[in-house]
Amino acid sequence: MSDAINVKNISKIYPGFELKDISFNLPKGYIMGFIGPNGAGKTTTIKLILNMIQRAGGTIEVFGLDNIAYDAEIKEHTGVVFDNHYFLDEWTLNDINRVMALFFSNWQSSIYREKLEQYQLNPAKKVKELSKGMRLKLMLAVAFSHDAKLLILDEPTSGLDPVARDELLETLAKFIQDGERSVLFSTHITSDLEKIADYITFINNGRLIFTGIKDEFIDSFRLVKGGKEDLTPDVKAHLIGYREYDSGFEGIMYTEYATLFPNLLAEKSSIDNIIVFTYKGTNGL
Amino acid sequence: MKNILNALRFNFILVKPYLRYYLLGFVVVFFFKIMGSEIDAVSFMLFMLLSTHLYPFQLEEKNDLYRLYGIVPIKRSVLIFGRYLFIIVISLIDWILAMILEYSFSKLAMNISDYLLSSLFIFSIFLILTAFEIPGLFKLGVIKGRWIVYIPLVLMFIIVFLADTFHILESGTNWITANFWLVPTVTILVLLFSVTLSVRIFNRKEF
Repeated sequence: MSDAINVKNISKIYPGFELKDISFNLPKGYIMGFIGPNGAGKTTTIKLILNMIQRAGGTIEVFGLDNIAYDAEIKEHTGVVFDNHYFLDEWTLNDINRVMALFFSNWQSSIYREKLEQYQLNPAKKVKELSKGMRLKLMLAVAFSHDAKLLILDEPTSGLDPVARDELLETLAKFIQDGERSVLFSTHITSDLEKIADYITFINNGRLIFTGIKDEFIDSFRLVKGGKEDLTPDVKAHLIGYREYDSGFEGIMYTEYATLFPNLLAEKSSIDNIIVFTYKGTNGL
Repeated sequence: MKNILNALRFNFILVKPYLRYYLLGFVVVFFFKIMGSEIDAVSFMLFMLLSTHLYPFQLEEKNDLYRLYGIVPIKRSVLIFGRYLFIIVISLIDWILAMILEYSFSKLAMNISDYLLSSLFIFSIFLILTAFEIPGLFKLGVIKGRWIVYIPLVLMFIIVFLADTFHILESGTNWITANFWLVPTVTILVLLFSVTLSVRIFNRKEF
């Protein structure tokens, strides 16, 4: 099984923030959810993969090629959707067709027009006249019109209504059906990932917390609950993060540790809870 | 080469929504000429030249087009070549139109070859001055680097002022006329240096 993306020990240093030793791989034909709280380093990692910023260390391969040496070759087959569009506000959707045809050697105007029709986007409209949902569809139309084998989405669903989000998830599920196409999907809305992601990479504060199969990720954490008297120093030491109430507490613990405390109520956690409590734990909240 | 021409076409598509203002500018210059307001016509022409080649920088900064550059399969150096080519082409169009306009209205008793040489000299000076500012615009952007645009103009005025003060303006002009081959040579060298510097800056830029 070859990888669409292979990231090894990448790092990037900014004043006040360091992305350190991030490693993960996305096999072809799968969707990977890329999660973490705000400021965790998700966008930085995506920009490193796209060679938009310079890394301090590590290696990145896309389709088995070094992402710097083969930048143009990789981008021919990579579609990118950001949280906001990357076009001129004044351009019409027809202008975008002309612009993209200049850059992508495998650009197919007929597919672009088909996609616009499918997404009910008027080619004569200007980008600034489109809603957020329509702009997302426009970026997807662009990605699909140059035969992208890899889709990188950086928080595309923030601000979208549930119907538009559901449509996007359906599109992504279809996109990977042939087993050759892959998706790296960074999002805050983890319920989307619970529906469609095969793999999860979780980073927090510039550090890798987990990377692997989604079910293993969810299974490796337990949401534990107990009374006030149950929150002993030993329990605290094993909790990744927790929240205290008047009547007790709840927190996240690795599954292997949860069995050490039979007096606590342990249940499967949502991805949201894993992120929230990990954030609390690492930030001393 | 095809990619560079595509990058040039991209710059024209980039400024397309604003080309009507550009064409309107020529109407204004024409109007000033008809009215006999020479200073206004020259000033407006200069303003047009400066603002037109700044358009792509302004638009890419305002719309954060660096993200577009980050996802398309094109080398950064090709984008730079395309930008320089755009500036040269647009300056050439401005120069030809200005020359036609000026010659049509000129009351000076100057023959056409002298006229061509003097306007070519002015065009070269303009390109040299522009070449100095472009790397700065790539480095700082238009908003932070707006002041850079004024440096060439200030330098030009200082040079003319000093030449006039030390009474070398006429002898200098004669020397340049006698060695006119130097003008395009220096222009090309300065442009090449400017392109190299811009490529270096843009390759290091983080999108």
